[in-house]
Amino acid sequence: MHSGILRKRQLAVFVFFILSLSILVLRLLYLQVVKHDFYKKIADEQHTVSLEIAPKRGTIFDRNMRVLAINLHSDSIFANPRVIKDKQKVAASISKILGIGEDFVYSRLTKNKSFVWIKRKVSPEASALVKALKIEGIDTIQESERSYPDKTLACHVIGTVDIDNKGLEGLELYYDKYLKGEPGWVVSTQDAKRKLLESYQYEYIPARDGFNLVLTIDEVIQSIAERELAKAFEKFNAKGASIIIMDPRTGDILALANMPNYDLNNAKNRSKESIKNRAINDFFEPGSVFKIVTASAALEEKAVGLNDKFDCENGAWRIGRRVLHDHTPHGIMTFKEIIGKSSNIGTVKAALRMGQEKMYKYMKLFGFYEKTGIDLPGEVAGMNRSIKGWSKVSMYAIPMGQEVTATALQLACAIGVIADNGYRVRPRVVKQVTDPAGKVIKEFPVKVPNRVISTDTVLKMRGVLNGVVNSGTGKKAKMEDYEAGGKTGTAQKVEQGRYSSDRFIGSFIGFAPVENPVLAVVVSVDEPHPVYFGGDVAAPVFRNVVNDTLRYLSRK
Amino acid sequence: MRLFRSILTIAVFTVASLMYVHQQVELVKLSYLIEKKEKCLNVVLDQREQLSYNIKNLESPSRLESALLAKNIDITFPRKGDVITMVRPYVMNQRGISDIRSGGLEKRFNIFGFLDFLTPKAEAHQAKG
Repeated sequence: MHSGILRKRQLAVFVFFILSLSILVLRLLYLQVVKHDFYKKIADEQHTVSLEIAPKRGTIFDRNMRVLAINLHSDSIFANPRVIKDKQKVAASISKILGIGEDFVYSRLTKNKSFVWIKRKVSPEASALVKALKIEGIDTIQESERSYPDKTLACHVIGTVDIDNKGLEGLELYYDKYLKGEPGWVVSTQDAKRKLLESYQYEYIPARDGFNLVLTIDEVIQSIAERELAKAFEKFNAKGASIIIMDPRTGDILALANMPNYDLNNAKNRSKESIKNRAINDFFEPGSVFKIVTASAALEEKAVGLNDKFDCENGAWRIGRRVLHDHTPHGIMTFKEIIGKSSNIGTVKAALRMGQEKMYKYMKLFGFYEKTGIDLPGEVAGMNRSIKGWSKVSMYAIPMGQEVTATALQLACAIGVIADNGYRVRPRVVKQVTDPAGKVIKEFPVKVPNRVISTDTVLKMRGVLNGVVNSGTGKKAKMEDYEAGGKTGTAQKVEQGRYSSDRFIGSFIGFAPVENPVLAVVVSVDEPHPVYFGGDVAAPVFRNVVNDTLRYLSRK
Repeated sequence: MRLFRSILTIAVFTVASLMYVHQQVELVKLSYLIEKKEKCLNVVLDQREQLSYNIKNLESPSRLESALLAKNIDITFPRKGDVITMVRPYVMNQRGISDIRSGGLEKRFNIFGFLDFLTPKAEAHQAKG
């Protein structure tokens, strides 16, 4: 009896379990087999993620492999507004730490999104403080930030990047394709906390980090140039100033600086005036420094000899309705003295002997009708009329640097012709592109230079320009240890079609040492006052910079 | 016998399943471990980069100059005659001038060096008082 009841009960339990199990199995079959595709898709969306791996932007080195621009990691703060409960309170605490408006943070937190940026690339201290708050829905992501250890050094050459490390200006823009690298990607499983599980990576293509740039800029020379230029800029209350130091044998730009400048690490707060790379973006009437072209052309064409004498009309020469003036009255002088004393009248008379076709020919040969081809963005060439557009009085203006425009870089190339035995080189700022391991990927060789004037003329011009420094208008460029050659220039700025009487550009172009030049230098100071002569404002900058640079180079 | 077979089959199946699950758990744990180590590595690499950046910043010529100027120390590059570069440094020895690399300061190999303990040595003592 008992065993019968027990058996029945056992059977009932057995049937119950079998039925339950069958229901479970059927449900499982339904979910796993019938609805397989549907649930797999949902699961994959939740667990599998495809992420882009950001490459590291390449480093920028100077010619001695000293770092000028590098990438450092920094945290960016983001939020998932959907999981934040007390948004007002969170906005108040976060905004204080990050130094941004509470309203701005609150407006971000009230968006119906699962991801919003709060602030990108914050300081390590701010990031640590935010992390310490342990607010649900607020987290950090590591990004890389462009950093410049020398801050303002070579800011116009290096340039800037945007928040996503994309080049905006300077070399950062010009060589962006080399610097930026190529992103990689990974397809992987993530856990409930959105952490990637390395063991469940299905596809992984590593990012290719950006290539490095090796510049022709020398950090020490650049520093010397910026120091001296800043002194002159402040001393003479100038509107702007530029300096270029070039190796005339190769076209390597050793230093290029402009004032005002800005801190590359804080570029968003820079002034409008500091953005422009004046040395290559601005052209101006060069004034008397242009006489090196006239003199070289006249000597090369044998239109004049160094000892040919010209009457400089005691400082005023009437040509039709125009009167040509000299800064200081001179009588009869040799051609060498004319350049040394920077006589406009004497220079024009020498140029007239040569004729306008030849003047035009040498302006073209010296590169005043084309860009120099430097590897920096935004280069302009001076706006110069072709010979067809010259007026009857053009030959009374162009030889002394009026009715002609040039950039500081074009002037650097022009003085480079005299420094480099008559050849015009193409300037360059980048020497090499290397991979992250240091292997050279691409070299930018020195371009075959064009011959402009003969060696004989070069030697004559070096003597003439050495005279300018030793006993002419450029005495303030004279150094104790080294012999230099150069030419001063004081150009009136053009305002509403007329030459200004109180706005000038003082400049000096020169080279050193005279016997075997290794430096070609251009200094220009925009609107200096109260002193404005090139020989007073720009020549001392040349002297100090060249003196220190040659001493530095001799120690290397 | 049949029951035993069934139990054995279930046991084998269960063990295999557990092993599979264990393997997956270990994989996840390994992932976390890798992530932790990678984080540590990244932190160290970041610190290294940050430190080298700081060093570069401190070595910046303009910063050095301004720091020295703040202490009224004006530095200039040496002039032509201020630095004398000796191609090979020389020292005086008992026989006269000698090249530093062929004698003098450079320690030479001595095959009887093991007998040195027999000879008196000059020793430095801490000065009293």
